[in-house]
Amino acid sequence: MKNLLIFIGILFISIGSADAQSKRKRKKADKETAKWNYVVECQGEATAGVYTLKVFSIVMDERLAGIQAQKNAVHAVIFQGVNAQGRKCKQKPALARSINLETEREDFFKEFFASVKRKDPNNFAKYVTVVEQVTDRQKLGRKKFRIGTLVTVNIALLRKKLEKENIIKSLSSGF
Amino acid sequence: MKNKINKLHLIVLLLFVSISFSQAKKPTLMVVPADNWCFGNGYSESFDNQGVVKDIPSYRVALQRDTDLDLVITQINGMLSQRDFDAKNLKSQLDKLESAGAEEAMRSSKYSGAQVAESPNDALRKVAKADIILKLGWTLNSTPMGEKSVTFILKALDSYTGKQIAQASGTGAPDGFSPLPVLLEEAVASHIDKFLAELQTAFERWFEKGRECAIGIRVWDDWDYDLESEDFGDDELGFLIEEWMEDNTVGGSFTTMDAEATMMNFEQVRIPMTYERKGRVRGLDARTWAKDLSKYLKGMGIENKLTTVGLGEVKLYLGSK
Repeated sequence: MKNLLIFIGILFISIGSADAQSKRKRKKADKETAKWNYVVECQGEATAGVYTLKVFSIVMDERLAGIQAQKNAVHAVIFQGVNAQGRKCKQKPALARSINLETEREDFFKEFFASVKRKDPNNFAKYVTVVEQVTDRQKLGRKKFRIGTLVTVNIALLRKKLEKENIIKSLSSGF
Repeated sequence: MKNKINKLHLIVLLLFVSISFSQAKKPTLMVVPADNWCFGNGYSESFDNQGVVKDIPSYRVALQRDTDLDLVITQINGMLSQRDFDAKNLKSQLDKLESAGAEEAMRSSKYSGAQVAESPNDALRKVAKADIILKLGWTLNSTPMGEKSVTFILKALDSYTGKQIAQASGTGAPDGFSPLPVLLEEAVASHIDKFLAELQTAFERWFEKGRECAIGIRVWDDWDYDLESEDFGDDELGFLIEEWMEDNTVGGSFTTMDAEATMMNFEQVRIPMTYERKGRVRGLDARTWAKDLSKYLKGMGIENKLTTVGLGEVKLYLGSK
């Protein structure tokens, strides 16, 4: 009986510790996200509405590179657009039609890019898939890494979501 | 009970908001092959324009002989549909045109039988009444190494002003394995986002500065007056019409392209996207807008006939119905 109580106690402590660790990790990821320190290269568009992008994220913690790359890719598609890449890729305009959209809808995007579970339909992760977690790795400093990640972004789905939430106007808006 | 009433209020409010924000008439689109693509591929036919024979592109022949064309049009139509724009299908419109019979070359006055010579309109455009024509074309390039690439061009033309409002063009990456339909599919997929973003900019400009349309004034040849007549006010009729235009366009924005005794042409006429009637906001097209000009002229005792080409171009024939 005593052993059982000790076992349950250890179990609770370890779950609590894992949860706290996970929260710390998410908090750290969100802090990294706020810097938006990345470069995106278009790799192609095999299917209409799905871009293949290589994201070079500058991160302090290598373990966060994967999740950060996903956020950066979605961020680029919404706010920056994607530059043409020779004959491989045509220029992709940003989904945002106003340069101030990010600040105008700060609350929405703060929640949208927050590191929550993948199942959350509001979360950025629904629109991006990691193809290759680390394609390039470069150490820039003692705690600074430049990590390349290959991802695909479902722009058609992302556009629909932002249109539905009235964040961006649809092509047929006003008609 | 109070909750139910609140819910009802909310539903009514949402309904009102959705109605008031979707008033303007949605432009219709149609994808056709570009003229130079048709000529380059031999899809043309001769057309006798009142004694002058000239070559015109034959969309029917192009669709019958080029399976890739149908594929590309279907793909673009599908992408437009995903963005809530149903494009008119070229093949269906051609069938409709055939069943409707030959296009009238002359338009005659209902009462006097007088005739106004009209330049041969695009018969298809008349039947389809597409506001925006998407013209596409491509060329297949081959390298000495046997690799192929596609140079693709897609343009959106406002049917009534003839202005280009969006375009996308470029050459895809060389590919030694993929067949032409695959290269074309990739070309459409890679260009469509930029193209539709430009189209959206044009739509936003319409809402901001007014929809651009064209107005033509013609005089029946049996009418006793013309646009230089001073019998209808303190100035020549043509100037009175210009004054009305000034008062009824967005920011008084229009350009008088031609002003002669028997005809006037106005282009870049900016009309509002919506108007209010009986307390409701409704979509405004050139016909509804020009109806007020027609009424203004009728008020001066000038009988007139209003004809339209789709949403954006109208012609007023003065003298009789």
